[in-house]
Amino acid sequence: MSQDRIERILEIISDSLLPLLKGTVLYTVPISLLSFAFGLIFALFVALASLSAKSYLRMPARAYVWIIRCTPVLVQLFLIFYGLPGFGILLSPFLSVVISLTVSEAAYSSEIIRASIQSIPAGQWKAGYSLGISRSQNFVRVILPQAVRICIPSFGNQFITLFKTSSLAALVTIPDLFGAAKLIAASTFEPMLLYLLAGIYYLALCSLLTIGQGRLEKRLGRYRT
Amino acid sequence: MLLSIERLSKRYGDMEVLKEIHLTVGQGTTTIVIGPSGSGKSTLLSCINLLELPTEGAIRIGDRRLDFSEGSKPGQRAILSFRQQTGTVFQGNYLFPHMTALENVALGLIAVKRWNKADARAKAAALLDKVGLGACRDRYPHQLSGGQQQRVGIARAMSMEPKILLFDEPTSALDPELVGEVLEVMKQLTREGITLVVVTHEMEFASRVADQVVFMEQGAILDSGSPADIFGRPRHDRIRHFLNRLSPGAMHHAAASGVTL
Ligand SMILES: Nc1ncnc2c1ncn2[C@@H]1O[C@H](COP(=O)(O)OP(=O)(O)O)[C@@H](O)[C@H]1O
Ligand SMILES: [Mg+2]
Repeated sequence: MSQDRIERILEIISDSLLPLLKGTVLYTVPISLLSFAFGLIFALFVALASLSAKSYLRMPARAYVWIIRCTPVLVQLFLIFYGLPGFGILLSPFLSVVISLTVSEAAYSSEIIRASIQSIPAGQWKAGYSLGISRSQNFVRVILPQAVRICIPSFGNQFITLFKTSSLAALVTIPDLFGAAKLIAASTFEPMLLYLLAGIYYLALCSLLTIGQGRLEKRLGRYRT
Repeated sequence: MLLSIERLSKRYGDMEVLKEIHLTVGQGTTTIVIGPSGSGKSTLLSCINLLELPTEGAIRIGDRRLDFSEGSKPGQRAILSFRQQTGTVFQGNYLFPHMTALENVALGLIAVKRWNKADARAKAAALLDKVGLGACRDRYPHQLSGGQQQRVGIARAMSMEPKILLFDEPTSALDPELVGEVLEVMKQLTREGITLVVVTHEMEFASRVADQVVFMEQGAILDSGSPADIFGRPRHDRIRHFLNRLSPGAMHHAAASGVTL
């Protein structure tokens, strides 16, 4: 490689570091956190509905999970961003991404929550009831805290996956981490370099998340069942 | 009589698990329920604390009475307040694994009686002292031995000051060397005048503490009476066989423990 080439590469890298960081801080992280948080809240309700004995709650929840899990997030995102305006619903790119990621996150996480609730032994419900506790209190104080601890490792994986999936934001014009790389790649004609750089960012950030996940699991692993 | 059960039946689909049970339990007495596996002992206890709803019949504890019949179910409130008169200790102790011993015992007071945390913890600590576990209050269930776990279970069942304590084979899941400490706590309860209904196959314990022994078979009470009657001179071959198979020395225990035969 010529001296010139190396210099140009170094220059592009140093010029890109900041825009990529900005994309991460302004878009990738907020989109991931918001979709994850809303997704979890929504997921809890979907999980409860799909565990309900009442079929008018259970059936819609099952249908929702089925449809969302069996269609690509990108299709869902494009339906919201490009499809809905045809019906007069115009959402900002940011909102479109957060909504579509929330919707898909909720479907996956609700399955994790549902399975964890079902895995709590019936004796735990019985023990709570035998104290005279109501069904909802029993759920909140006895079942859910145990279920949440079971969910934590899977939630960690979900978040890491979501963090990477948030790169779809670039396809609806958002300059997130991947979007920023995409823009610079187009203007410098250096796709290899920029996408490598974006990959390194994702690798570093997800590695940090993995470490955090390990610590969290350790802290919550105080008790065993 | 503190507890009276009249023509209580429980069916699961077509299977009749309890058939027209009649049983009365006096205030401050200890009733021991024995019988072969599958005879309906656990179901009987579950019908007393309403973890299972009887199909038919009536149960009265103190001055609260519930009637059951096919097609009519008592309301949720009635069930909860009736159930609060009972405390239950299970075979597998079912302690809450995410709570310390103290939190296990305090939960009912906080969640049901709406006590403030400090009062609930103080009372829970006193109950743990009583079962000899004052030093273990901050341990999680997995940090306790099986016998200790079961004693926490007893303290938890007593936390709501129930009128009657139900035990479903409280020592069957324990290693033999841990059985004694749990039975000791239960003996102490009988001395304090607490009303107990205990499903157990610890015959020596049964003959020492029982005021009444109930033998169940195939969902019905085959015979009931004093320990001397049931253990000492069983009227039914079925009971004799059962006692012999359980422990060939059972009747000697009854004799040795001062029960007049
Ligand atoms: N939830 C249930 N559904 C159907 N059958 C049950 C249920 N619970 C218990 N049974 C049946 O009722 C009978 C009595 O069970 P149980 O009360 O547990 O007996 P025991 O405690 O004396 O061993 C058994 O034949 C058991 O299979
Ligand atoms: Mg049983």
